[in-house]
Amino acid sequence: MNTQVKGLTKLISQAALSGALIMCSSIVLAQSFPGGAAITPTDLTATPAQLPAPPPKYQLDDPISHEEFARFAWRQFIYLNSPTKKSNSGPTDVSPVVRGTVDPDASFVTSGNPRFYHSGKSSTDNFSSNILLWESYAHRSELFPKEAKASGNFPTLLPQYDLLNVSVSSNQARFNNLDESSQIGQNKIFFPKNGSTPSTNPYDDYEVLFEAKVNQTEYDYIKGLNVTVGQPLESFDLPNETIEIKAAWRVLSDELAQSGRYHTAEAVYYKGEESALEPHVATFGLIGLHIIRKMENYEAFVFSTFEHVDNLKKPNGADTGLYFYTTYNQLSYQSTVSSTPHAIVNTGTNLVQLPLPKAGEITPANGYDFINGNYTQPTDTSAGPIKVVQPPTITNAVISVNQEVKNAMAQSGQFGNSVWQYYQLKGVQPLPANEDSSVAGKANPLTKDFFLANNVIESSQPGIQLFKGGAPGPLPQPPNTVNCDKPVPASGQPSVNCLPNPRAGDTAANIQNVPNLVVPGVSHGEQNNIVMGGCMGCHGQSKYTNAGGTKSSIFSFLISKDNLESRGGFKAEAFDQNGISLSTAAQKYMATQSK
Amino acid sequence: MSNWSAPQALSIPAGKLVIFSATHQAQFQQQIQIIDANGQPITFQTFDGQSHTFPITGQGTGVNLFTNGNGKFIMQSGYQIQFKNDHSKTSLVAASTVEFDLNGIVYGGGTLFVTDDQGGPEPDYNDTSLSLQWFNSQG
Repeated sequence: MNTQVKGLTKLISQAALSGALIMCSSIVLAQSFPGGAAITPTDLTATPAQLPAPPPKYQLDDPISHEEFARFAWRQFIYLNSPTKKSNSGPTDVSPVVRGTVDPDASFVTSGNPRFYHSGKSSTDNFSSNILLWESYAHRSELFPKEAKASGNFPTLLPQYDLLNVSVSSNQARFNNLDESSQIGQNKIFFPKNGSTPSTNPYDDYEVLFEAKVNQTEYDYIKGLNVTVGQPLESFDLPNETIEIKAAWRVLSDELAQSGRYHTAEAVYYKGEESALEPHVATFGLIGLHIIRKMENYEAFVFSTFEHVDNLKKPNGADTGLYFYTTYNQLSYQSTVSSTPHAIVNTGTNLVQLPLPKAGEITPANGYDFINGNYTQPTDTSAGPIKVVQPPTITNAVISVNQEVKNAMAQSGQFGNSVWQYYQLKGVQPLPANEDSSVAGKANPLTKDFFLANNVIESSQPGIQLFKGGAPGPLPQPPNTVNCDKPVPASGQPSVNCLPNPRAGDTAANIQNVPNLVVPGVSHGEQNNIVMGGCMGCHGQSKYTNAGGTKSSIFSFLISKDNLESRGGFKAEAFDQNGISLSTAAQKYMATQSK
Repeated sequence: MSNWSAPQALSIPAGKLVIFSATHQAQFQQQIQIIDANGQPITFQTFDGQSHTFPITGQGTGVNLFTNGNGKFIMQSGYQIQFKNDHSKTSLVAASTVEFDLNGIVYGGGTLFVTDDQGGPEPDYNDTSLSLQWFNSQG
């Protein structure tokens, strides 16, 4: 029974019991949430796929369940991974697809063909005409080109990448541009090439690369801003229906590329020294996808993330050996964190208390799952290789909805060869909340997926996998650093890189325009005290201070003062980027207008 | 020897009778303690009337009670619980809390704790099991 019918039934039965239907006007009807209804084969095969309407306002007396939010997340995935509309054949300086528009004649079934991308590519054109909807979105370097303002008509725009340290020629451009080679500067992540054991040099293994994209709503909003250098805007408020995407791709072995288990596509990536970076093109496999969407009543965005099912275990059950190197070799908690730092996870059926790594050096003794052996560290200040582990953070609601989708795929009979059967929802964060305070108490329903993290996009504990609180990057420090608060060495290589881990402080503070935000147990006046975790908590760190001096979370790390003033842009990262450059990149991620 | 897990507040009203029962199923030694608001282990009574003070200890892969592994105490404000093992890693602690709420009256409740000492390749959450139950009225 969907929410609307449930609400109506309740209303009618209450009215009948009272014998006074006239009382209906005083009873609040439950709001409709079709996006939260059970996933059926029709949802998967609809031509075209539909973007689900926003969830209704969250109400304490009739709360939306986590299952409903999970189904909403899946419907977004179905829509965003459907084919983009092809453009009519026209001039060669126009995009072969209508960027941001779903193909009215194709469906999620179509794009599930393992050869979807490649079958749309001719030998004479570097662009395929078979592009997923989100792949057609604007890359971050199209939103903020090097020292310039976004321009052009988005639906017809050919991908063009002008980064701070490299420009991609038109014949090398592809819709996917993997210009990020680290997990927001904190880790480098790899799949072993041989079995599940890392190679001595990680760059001999299969690296994971990343890209960030935005939809036309955000692109047009940024394009339309009139920013004067040195003067903050009266207000900065990304419009509702803004969508941002972060995608993780891996290099595939020939065997995996032919396995039919991955969505594959050609993508640009980078090699060489930062000052002389060279774009290259190769075929990659999609292994992780963040989707964040801002909507009415959900001004802190709804965060969801999907993973490839083979990221940690191969189809035969063996470990993939997925591992990472940190870009820091020391960790420090702020003094307010207890001597036994921990996280409390709400699985939906119980609470789990997980000890976190201890402060100090990144070593096995301090709680990191190092892989034994002799390895070449990618930088002087990195630590690893460390095995990627999955803490017990996955909720029962998400597990059951993933099964529901799997069943619907089987019932439809059209997904037997689809790559989409090998992707799963990891979790969804609809609203900010505080972490549950004790493992021995009653859980807040909104803390399910509090520590939302993707196993290939956020992999290090406690840095970003069990994230909560502040989100600074690794800081170069002198040796014997205790609290990451020493001055940066004046010259030469730092002896250590320290990752401060506050795990407190206002994260989702001063959320803009959220009069309707309801968080159980927390009044609207207390919203400033929320210390959110996971993806939403991290993005809450991104803030903007307007001309009136009001600082608000804007939840986008793509926005910065320089970028808005058309004096910025992004640096492409080489796949074998070095330590100092990585640290700088981490700081850049967190550099927003207000900092 | 690992650290004590971070103390966790018990969600039991002050003044209520609490009974507990703790079993182990582990190669490594397991410990449990309830501490007061000052961080000091509290005193409890086993069902034979003897007084004891936390922590309590148990060890062995065969399921058995901890030494002095069942008893009772009166809940006071600020009481917290923590777990420990003599392996190298801090215990993982999972808990599920229930309340007996009938016709709007809360008659009592409880929390079932299980822990894993991270001594095996995969967690099995059976190294310690503690049931902790409280009642709204006595006798």
